[in-house]
Amino acid sequence: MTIQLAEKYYNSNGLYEKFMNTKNRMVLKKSIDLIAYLEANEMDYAFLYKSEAFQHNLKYIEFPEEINLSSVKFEENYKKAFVEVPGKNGKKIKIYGKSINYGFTVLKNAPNKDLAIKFIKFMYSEKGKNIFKEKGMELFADVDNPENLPEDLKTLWGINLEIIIKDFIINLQHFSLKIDYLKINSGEYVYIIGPTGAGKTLFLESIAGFVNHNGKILLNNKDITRLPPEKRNIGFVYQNYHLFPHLNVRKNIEFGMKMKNIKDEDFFYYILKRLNIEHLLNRRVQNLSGGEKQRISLARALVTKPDILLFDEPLSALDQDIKSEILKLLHEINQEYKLTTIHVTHDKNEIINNSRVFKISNGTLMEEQYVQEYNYNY
Amino acid sequence: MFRNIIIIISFLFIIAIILPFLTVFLNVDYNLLFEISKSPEFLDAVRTTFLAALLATIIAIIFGIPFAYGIARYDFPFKSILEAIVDIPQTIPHTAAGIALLMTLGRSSAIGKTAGIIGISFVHTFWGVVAAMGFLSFSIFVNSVKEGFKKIDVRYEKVARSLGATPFKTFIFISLPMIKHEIITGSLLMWARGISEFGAVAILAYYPMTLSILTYDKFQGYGLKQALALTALIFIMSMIIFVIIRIIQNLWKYTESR
Repeated sequence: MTIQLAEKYYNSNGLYEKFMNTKNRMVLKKSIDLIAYLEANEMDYAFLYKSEAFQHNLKYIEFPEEINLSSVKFEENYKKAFVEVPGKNGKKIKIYGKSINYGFTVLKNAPNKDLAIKFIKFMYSEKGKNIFKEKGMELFADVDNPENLPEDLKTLWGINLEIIIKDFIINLQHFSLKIDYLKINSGEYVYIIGPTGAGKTLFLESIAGFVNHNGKILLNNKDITRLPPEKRNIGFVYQNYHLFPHLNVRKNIEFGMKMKNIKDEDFFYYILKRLNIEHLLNRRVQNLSGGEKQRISLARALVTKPDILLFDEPLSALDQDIKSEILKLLHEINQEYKLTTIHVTHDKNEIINNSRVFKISNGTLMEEQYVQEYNYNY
Repeated sequence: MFRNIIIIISFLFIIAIILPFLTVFLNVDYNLLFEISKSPEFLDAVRTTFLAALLATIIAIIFGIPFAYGIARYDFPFKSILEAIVDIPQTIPHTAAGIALLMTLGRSSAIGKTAGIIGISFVHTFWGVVAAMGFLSFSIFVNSVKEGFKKIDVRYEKVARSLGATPFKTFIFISLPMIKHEIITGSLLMWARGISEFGAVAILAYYPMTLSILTYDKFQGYGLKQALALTALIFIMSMIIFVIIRIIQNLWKYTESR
C-alpha cells in the first residue's frame, strides 16, 4: 500500500526528476532530505521528499537485510568522506560526500546510517543503474577531487561553505577587535565565547554585514565583505528571537522565502516538521513560549537555505530546562545539513566537547583548548 | 487618607475641564444652534477646516515618515539641532508663526511668486490654510512617528535584511507595519491639532474661513450669542470625533489581546 502511494507520487509529480540534475548527472539536490522507498525483492521502488512523506503520513520502508555494505570510509575532514561500492568488473567506485551530500550527512548520524548506505548501494546496483538509464541519466561518481566539482554543485546548500576572516579590525570608542586570520571549515560548529561587551555580537554582525569594518570576509573564497546583508545568504538568530510582532508564525517563517523568492513548499513543511512547530503555524507570535519562539526563529532562518548560520546567544533567554533541548537541536541541524555554524555565547556550559572554541580577550580572538567540566547534559 | 486626597484632586481637575463645556450647553440658544448648523457659511467652514487639516496631515505623512526614520536611525552631525528645529513651530506664538509664513509664502516672496506662476496663492486661499495648519502641527506627527521608530529594536530590521530583504523592503514590510499605531495616532493628533489652529491661519489666510476663524468672526461681528451657538456645535463635533477615535483605539486593543 505504502509502496503504491509512493509510486504514485513519483509518477504524477515527477519528483524523481526533481533531484536529477539537468546535466544528466545524478545528484541529490541541495537541502532535500531524501528517502528512498525501495523494496529490494523486485523492481518496486520510489523516491520521495521526506517532507512529502511527512505530509502524506507515509512511513518509509526499511531495506531488507541482505544488502550488505562493502565499504564506507570517511575521514575526519568532511570533504574527504567517501564510499566505495563495487562496480562492474570488480572495479571500485568512489562516491564523495560532496556529490551525495545528504547521504553522507546521514552517514555521520548513526540511526540513518544503514539507510543511506543502502540507498547509495542501490543507486550503483544494476537495478538502480537501469532505472537511471531509463530516464536517460548517468550516475555522477568517481570524483577524486571534490574541488573539481562543477560550479552548480559547489554552490548547492551545505557544500563547501567555509568562511575565512582576514585582517579584521574594528575600532570603536570603548574597545577594538582585531583578528588576523580565522578559518571556519565547511559544516563546522564553532563557538565564540567572551564576557559581555567584548564585541562578540559586533563580530557576528560584521560577518552578517550589519557593521562596517576593515578586513576581508571570504565565503567559499568569494569576497563578501562589500555585499549588503541581503545578498550574503547568511542566517542570523538572535537571543531575543526578534519574531516580527505584526506577522503570525507562518508569515514570519515565510518572510525570508518571499524576499529571496524561494518557492520550495516541501522544504518549508519539512523544516516545520523537523523543528516540531507545524502546530503553531497560525498562532500570533506574542503568546508563545521562549522555546517555541526560538524554534520559529531558527525555522525562519533555515527555510531561506542560508549558506552559514550565526547564533547570537541563542539560549540565553530560554528557561534552564529548555536550553539543552534547543542546544541539541542546533547541533543536529548543523549535522544534518552540514551547515557551517558560529555560535556566540558567554556561557561555557553551552559548549559541546568536540567543537572548536574561540575566546575574545584583549581585543583579539584566541583558539581555546576547552576542557569540558559540565554541560547541559547533552 | 492619601486615596481620598487623590480622588478629591482628580475630581476638581475633571470639574475644571467639564465646567466650560457645561456652561456653554446651559447658556446656548438651541434654535440659533440649529439655524447655524444649516447655514452655508458654517458648512463651508466645516469643509474647509476638515479638508485642509486632512491635506496637511497627508503631506506630513509623505514627508514626515522618511524624515522621522532618518532622525531615528542615522547618526550625523548636528542631529540634535535638527530635532530641535522640528519643534520650533510649537514653541513660538502661532500669530508670530503666521507672520513668518506670510513673509515666506506671501505674494511678494520668492516662493509666493513661483507658486503664482502655476496659479497657486497662499494668501487668503485654501492652500494658505493648509500651509498654516501643516507648519504648526506637523511636529506632532513627526515626533510621534520618530518615537515609534526609536522604540523598535534595530535588530528586527537586521534580521529582515539577513532574510534577504533590501533596505526599502525592510522599511515597507517591517519597520512601517511595526509602528502603524504611532502613525495612526500621530496623524489623528495632528489632524485634530490642525482643526483647532487659529493664530497662523488668521494671519495667512483669514478666508476661506475655518471653524476657529468663523467663531472669532461671529464673536467680533455679531456678539456672544452667535459665537456661543457656533461653539456648542464645534464641541459636539469634537466629541463625536474623539468618541470615534476612542472606539478605534479600543478595537485595536481588543484585536491585539487576542
